[in-house]
Amino acid sequence: MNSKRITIRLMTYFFLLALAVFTVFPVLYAVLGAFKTNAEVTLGGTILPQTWIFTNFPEAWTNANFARYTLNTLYTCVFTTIGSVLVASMSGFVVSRKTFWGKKVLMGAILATMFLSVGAITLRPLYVLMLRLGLHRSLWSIILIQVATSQGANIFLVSRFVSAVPKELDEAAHIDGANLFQIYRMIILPLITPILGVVGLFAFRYSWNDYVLPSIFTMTRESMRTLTVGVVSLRYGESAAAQWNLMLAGASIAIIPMLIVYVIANKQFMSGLTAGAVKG
Amino acid sequence: MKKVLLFALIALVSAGLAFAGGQRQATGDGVTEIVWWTHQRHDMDFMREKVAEFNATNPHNIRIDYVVQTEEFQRNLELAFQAGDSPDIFSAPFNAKYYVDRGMAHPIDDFITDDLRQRYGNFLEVDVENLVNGNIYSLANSGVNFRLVYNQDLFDLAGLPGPPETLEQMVEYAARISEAGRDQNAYGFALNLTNPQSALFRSLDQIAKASDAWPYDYTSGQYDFERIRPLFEAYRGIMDNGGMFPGVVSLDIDPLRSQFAAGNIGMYISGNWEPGVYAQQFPTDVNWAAVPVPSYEGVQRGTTWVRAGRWQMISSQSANVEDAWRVFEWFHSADILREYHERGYGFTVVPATVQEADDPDIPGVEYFRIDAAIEGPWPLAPHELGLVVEGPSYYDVIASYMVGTVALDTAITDLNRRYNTAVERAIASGDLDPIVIPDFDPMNP
Amino acid sequence: MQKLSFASGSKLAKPTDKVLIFLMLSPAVVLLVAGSLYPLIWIFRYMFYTFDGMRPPRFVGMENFIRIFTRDPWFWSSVRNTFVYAGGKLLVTIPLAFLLAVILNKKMLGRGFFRAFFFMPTIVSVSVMSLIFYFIFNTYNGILNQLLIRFSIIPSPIEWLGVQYAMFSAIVIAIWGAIGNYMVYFLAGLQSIPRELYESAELDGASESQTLMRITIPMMGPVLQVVIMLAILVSLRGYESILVLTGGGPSARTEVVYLYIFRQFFPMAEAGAFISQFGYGSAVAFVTSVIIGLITIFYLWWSRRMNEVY
Repeated sequence: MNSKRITIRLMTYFFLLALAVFTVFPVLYAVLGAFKTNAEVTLGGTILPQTWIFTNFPEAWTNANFARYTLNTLYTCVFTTIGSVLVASMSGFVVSRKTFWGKKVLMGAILATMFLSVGAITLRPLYVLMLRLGLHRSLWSIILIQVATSQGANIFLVSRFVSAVPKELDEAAHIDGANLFQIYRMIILPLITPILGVVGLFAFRYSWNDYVLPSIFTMTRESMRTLTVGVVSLRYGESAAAQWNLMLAGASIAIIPMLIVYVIANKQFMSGLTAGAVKG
Repeated sequence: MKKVLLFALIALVSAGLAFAGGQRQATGDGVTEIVWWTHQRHDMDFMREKVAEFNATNPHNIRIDYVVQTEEFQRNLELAFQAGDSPDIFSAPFNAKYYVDRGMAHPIDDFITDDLRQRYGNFLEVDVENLVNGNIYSLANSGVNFRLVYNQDLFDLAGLPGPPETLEQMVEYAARISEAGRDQNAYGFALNLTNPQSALFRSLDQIAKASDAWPYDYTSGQYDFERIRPLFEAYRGIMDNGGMFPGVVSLDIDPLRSQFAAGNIGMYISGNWEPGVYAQQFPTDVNWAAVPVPSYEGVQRGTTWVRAGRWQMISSQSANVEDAWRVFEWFHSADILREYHERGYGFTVVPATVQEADDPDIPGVEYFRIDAAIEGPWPLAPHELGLVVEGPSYYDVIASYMVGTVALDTAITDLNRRYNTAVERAIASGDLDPIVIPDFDPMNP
Repeated sequence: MQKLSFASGSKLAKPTDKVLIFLMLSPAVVLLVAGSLYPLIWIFRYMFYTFDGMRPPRFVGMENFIRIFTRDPWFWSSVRNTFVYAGGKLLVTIPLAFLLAVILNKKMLGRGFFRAFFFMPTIVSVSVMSLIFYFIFNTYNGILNQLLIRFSIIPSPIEWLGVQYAMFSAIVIAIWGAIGNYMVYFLAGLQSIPRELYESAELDGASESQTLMRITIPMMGPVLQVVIMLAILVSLRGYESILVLTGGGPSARTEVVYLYIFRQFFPMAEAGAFISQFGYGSAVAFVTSVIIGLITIFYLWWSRRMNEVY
């Protein structure tokens, strides 16, 4: 029995390690590419750089205007994240707990739009809309669209997690005189932090890596561009050939803030309040 | 604590609104701001330097706001036009007719001086590229021409007399180089076939033009892909006889160059950017040279294409056309065009500059010097003017034939049918003016 | 836990549930109308037009649909490719991600690191990673072929991005990029299962696999159902990594339907002008979304029992 346990444990670790190699190796390869010359990157065939080039990083930092662009990106990311979490949690809660006129229509509409919300198709009408709202030169257009296009999935998810919270808790609070919003804030929110952590993390990541929207809504103002736009344009320099090594350096720097956010969010969806602690 | 956070948030929002709101800067003191968008990045440092110089010295109180756009330049430009928010000047990745049809370009005939006329000579008016309905919309600067770039060392290794002149030689030499280069893992021929259009436009199209086998027949206004059957067969032949670089279907242009610089590729066909790439990005010890592209029989029956005639355009929405022109004039001056050429940003086609300027200091540019006897401007065929063809383009079909997923006869019949139907429809709907040149001469197109 | 005292506070008119429902839903509804319904209406309109984005649109009636159903085999083959792509991706990703979540939900050495490792692929931008995969997969000197040859698993290089294997490679990359996402969803879902259930199962002497089948999966039902629905939608819609890696080639072997749609809106332009086909693109997008919608609805009907736990 005991030796069987150990075997299982060892096999589990072996399995996890093998998968970890599969997932991490390409990322590592990209980061190592940031230390190579452009010729070596595009020639391929090596894993470690033949000679380590460290100048790619400072060059990428200045060429992509990192300091400024990171600020812009953080700005959109923070508000996209807050917006996504707020909208998804409020709507997910209401949709899960309440019946109201037009609920089926609303859910159907949300589901239907999830089939079509692809950047390529909706860019043109969204641009026209933002133009009419006078937001087409503002980072807020990016924030609003990012929240809008991802809210469908989030609302569905959150509502499922809210359903998992025992209804008795709401009822007890209701008897104590709490209104709907108070129940949402005091009872539900603390209990669904795991999924809100995920929603927030994914919203932040979506915003951090999005390229298409920022490239459109910042086209008239170079100083407003976001990091991804800057990193992508790193490819183009003095020559007809793309500077892949610089782009890899830029992308490698851009991973770091995302990792920090992941660690923070990880606490949310992992430390997870166990339902038991609440029921007690 | 929460209130503090909330307060901080509100402060951040309001601060952010101010800087995110991106109003166009108000320009006082009678300064005119000329917004200029470009899709070109390779000359970014040079252009920025010149813009700064202009802004510091011009006597007209003009300030240029030079914006280097992202990859999706054309899409963004069209969105900006929709918004009535277009730049005063924009670089033109497409021909003038495209922009004129869409009401985006402002004619510049009224501004053309005798001096300009003289300096530009026969490149002042290049039909479709910068001339539409008798109006000029853009001025030429640099042009692109095409050559077969080859590795002399590998040719020597394979005991070949010299670069191929006929299509047959190209196929045969590719195989012989692969054969001779087996030990060092070198191959005869390569294409950046991950994007068939990009790969075949620079190679196959040019061979077709040099062989008087361009699939669009200007005299009849019809497509006939039978004319490039030998090219279908040759390209497939190189795949089958082992002459092709392995994994060519997913090969992109930069890895291709990199492999060429490392001495692993015998030959490929590309434009005059290549010397600059080897001088700057992919330093090479390879003993390379370039020659005009081969043709079916080794006899040039048509000229290859020099793509030139346009550079910048003035927006039809510009409120300051006069000032935009002042910027134009300054940037099209003899000095700037010469410097642009000599510093290697692009090969000038402007006759006066060709006379005055020295070759840029880049090894190998001499192979790409424009030779009017074998190359020149070409009239554009419907598919180069945005013909909407249903289904895959002929570039895609050739690539498919190369990997053996379509049969040759059906592919050609199908292409003829689809392209000619598309031409008929486009003419019928008014999207395309018929392109027929009864006395078309491929040596003097 | 903090003491709840709702009754105290102002005696201003207490908002009724109806008002609060309205207020709490309004941000979502406004965003839905502006961000999704408005573009939808736009598509519904232009699918009856020929429109290149700049020149005046021209009404063509049902012409775009006639083209889809009578003379566009390329669209239908992209639909087929999409099923292969999405199916391959889902069949591996979902079970694998679920397994990882279950393993990494338990206390074990290094689980934080493993979680971070598996999540890593999802934070690097797609365009950068597709480039990297080119260098891993390429035939001439790709790392993968080098390794396989060194360990004598294959005798000569395999053309991973060629006609035969391109779709396989695209699926591998899709799996690589997706495992972390679904692992995180499932981890969050596992948090909502009451701990007592596990404790009592342990007291009853249930084995690990019994606990998994009797408690974990049924309790996760509602979450699983919706996460799988999202996974289906996302994989049917995915095209970005393919766009950068193979551009749909070789010979359209990796051309998935949303890539096909993308090309109608943003065609490639090298030699000459390009013409966006907003009208035809809209019609294709509409037909595609009907197909995807039917699949989703069928899935929701088929999996309805998963949502019947509580």
